[in-house]
Amino acid sequence: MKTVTIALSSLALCLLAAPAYAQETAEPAHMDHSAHADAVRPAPAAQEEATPAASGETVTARVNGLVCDFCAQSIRKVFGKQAAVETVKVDLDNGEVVLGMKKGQTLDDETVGELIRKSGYALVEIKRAGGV
Amino acid sequence: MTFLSYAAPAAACLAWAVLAPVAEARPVSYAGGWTAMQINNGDYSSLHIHYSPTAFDSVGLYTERNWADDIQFTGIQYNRLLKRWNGPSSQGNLYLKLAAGQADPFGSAGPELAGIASFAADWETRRWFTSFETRATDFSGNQSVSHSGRIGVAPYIGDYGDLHTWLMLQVENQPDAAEPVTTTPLIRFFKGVQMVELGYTVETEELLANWIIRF
Repeated sequence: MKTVTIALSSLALCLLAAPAYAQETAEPAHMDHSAHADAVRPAPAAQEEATPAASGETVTARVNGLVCDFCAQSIRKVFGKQAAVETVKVDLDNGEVVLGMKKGQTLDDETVGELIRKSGYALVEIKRAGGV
Repeated sequence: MTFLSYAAPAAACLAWAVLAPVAEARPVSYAGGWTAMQINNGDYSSLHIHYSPTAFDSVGLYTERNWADDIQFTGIQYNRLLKRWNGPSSQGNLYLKLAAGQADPFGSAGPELAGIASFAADWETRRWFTSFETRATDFSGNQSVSHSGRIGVAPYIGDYGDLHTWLMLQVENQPDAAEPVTTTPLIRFFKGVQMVELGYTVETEELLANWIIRF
């Protein structure tokens, strides 16, 4: 009887989870899933916009250790405090942090690497696109 | 100060930690982050609110109503990320947690000094999760140790901000308990800065309900 109770409880929990997941997949409008990434908002200095298009340089950092939303949130918070950063995206699928810089401003590689290390993660490489 | 005056307390702390590791999820946040964690597992209900000055440390209030020992513990807890392994698609962590405060046994004597020490290890990808923790408590001379391990799988891989779901199995060993080994199937929901776990311990027929929020 106990086994049956446990099985039914587990089934009920799974059924409870399924509609929530279905809702997530059916209503993607609030997220930018085109690149499996998230536009970062909370930065005091960052603009609130639907797409992460920045007015300045785009810095893409490949980072090891990004496996969950808590990791992504850490990155968002740390880079969001940087005055030069306009937008932050965390792409968990590709392990990338995409920073949109304000026009005429940037962060050098050393600073990006140090901020990632201080966040608890490991920088692999940095790519830059767009001009300062 | 002699060498022993430093070495003895350090060795005692280390031994205590090794004998007593704990296992909450990610007890350290980003620098400047606050976290509230609540655990209800039949043996105890606890609340831990901590602040992380760095991504490797956190400190905060820890209070626990221990139903098994019939004691209320209140103290300060320090958490340290001892080591992290960052892989291309995985992460492993070792944590040490130490708490000191007072335990208030209901009914009889007054509050006395008490402490908790735990050591936790985890490794996860976006699909798989494993963890182990050991927890030792000394509540007014009433000492106990427990060990627990978890395995989990995510039935689907969500993007950042989606609702993430994990199916997990927890096995716990409490040598002094009436049921020394218990198993708890549980489900974890994870969305943004919030995490909720719901489970059921088979042997003791107790519910598990945990949550974490970061801000």
